[in-house]
Amino acid sequence: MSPVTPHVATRRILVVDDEANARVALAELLRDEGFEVETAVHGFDALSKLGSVAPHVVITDLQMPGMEGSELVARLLQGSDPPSVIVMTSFGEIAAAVAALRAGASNYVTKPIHFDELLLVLGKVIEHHDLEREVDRLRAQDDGDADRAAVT
Amino acid sequence: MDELLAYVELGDEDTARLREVHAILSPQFPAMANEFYTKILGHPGASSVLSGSDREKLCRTLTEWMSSGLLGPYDEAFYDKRSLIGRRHVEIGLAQHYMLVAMNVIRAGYVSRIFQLAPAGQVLPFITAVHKLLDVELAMVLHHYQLASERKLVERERRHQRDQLAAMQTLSSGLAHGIRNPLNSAKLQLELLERRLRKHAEDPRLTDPTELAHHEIGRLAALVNDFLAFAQPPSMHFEDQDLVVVVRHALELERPIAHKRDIHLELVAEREPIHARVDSTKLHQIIHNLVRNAIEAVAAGGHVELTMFQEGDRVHVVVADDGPGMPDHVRARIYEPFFSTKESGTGLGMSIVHSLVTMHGGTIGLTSSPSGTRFDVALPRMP
Repeated sequence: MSPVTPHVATRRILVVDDEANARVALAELLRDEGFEVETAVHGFDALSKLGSVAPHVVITDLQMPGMEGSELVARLLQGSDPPSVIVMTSFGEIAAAVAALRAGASNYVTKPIHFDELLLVLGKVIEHHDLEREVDRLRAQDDGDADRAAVT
Repeated sequence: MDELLAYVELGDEDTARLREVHAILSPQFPAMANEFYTKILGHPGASSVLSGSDREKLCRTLTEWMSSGLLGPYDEAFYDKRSLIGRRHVEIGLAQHYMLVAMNVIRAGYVSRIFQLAPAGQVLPFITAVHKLLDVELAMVLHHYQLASERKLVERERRHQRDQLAAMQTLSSGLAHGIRNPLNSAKLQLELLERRLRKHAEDPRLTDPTELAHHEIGRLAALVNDFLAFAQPPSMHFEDQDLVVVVRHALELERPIAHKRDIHLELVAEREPIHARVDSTKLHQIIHNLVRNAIEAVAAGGHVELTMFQEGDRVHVVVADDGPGMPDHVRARIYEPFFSTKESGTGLGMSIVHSLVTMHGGTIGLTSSPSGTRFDVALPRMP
């Protein structure tokens, strides 16, 4: 069903946007692609849902009342198993996108969103996310082996 | 200066007489200056401008002025020196009519002294020569008043334009930001509709309209971006670039559209590379807008030619088309924001070109005739 990634069904995505129609449509589009999707209406809402949803990827608008986009990105990434973050930015807000990338966002898409482009970016981000986890796992395993080696 | 002297007919005879007047009157200059300032400073309008000045210094300056006026020579150096005085009058804000009155006071001072002191037979020739000299002096001062008022007019016009532009930028920015979010929502909702329609049936009667709506949203988004580019002049990132490469790249992107309309697109570079410090993204936009404009101006089978050459410390990129040309009233307003002759244009394209060229420290020239239009963008190699 999805051209993006073979593991879509197991992927949880948190969509953060204060524009209801955009949020709902994006969530539905992603669900149609097979993702598991939750939504949040602003940055604080997103942070409060982070624990319960445990998303693999957060797709967030940059311009929302209450919190700078780059600040939200930084706080989303604070946990022990942080999600990857894709920011949605508008033409003329490239500076904000750069700030978000500096804060640790994985990638950005420009509004109005081309859904195919978003899917492509999402695929890459998930792939990268998986690789990172794999590296972490192998490293942990390696350390474990080393520890055992040290013990014996 | 010579023209002025010829106009008041101040000839050699007169200059000789003026030197004689100097010989007779110079001991009187301090008294004349004193009388002058007594009269002038008695007037509240003039005295308010001159108040605070050192009266003795003013008298010395006037004495020197009378002396150098009578002695000449009336060359360019004389003109330059007088220009300083003229500018000073304008700068301190002495109204023109006070200056005219002051000139008359000086005139009267000369006339009465000449009557008193000159030999009887010389009175008339002396007075005539002094009148001519004072006319020259007056013309020079008036010239500065005129320049100042022209400057004021130009400045007022510029300020007006700046205010207008700022208001339009605020409006554009507000409008663009307001349109953008609903546009994004609409596009996503439409995308959802389209995908679900396709899933159920590949029925063009259902999917074609959504595709068209997508296309229209794309146009709206481009329009909003235009507005934002206009409202927020971007910061410049100058880098040494081969302009031929940048221009060629921009041109290649227009080729599909040109091809579709059967328009010949050509780039002729006098040499390659042509290096200059430019912001390549902005130059790209300049070329894109100019070429798009040209493509839309010519009929099928027409030509759009870009020529690049270096001249002194400037690089020229000329975009010429063989379209029908622009009428004068279009040419006069071509860089005005929101001015468009096209049904679907924002009228911002050429305004953006103009501001981007200006931000490069460049200039843009336009010539148009019934056989075509030509934009000549000249960019400094080192802005």
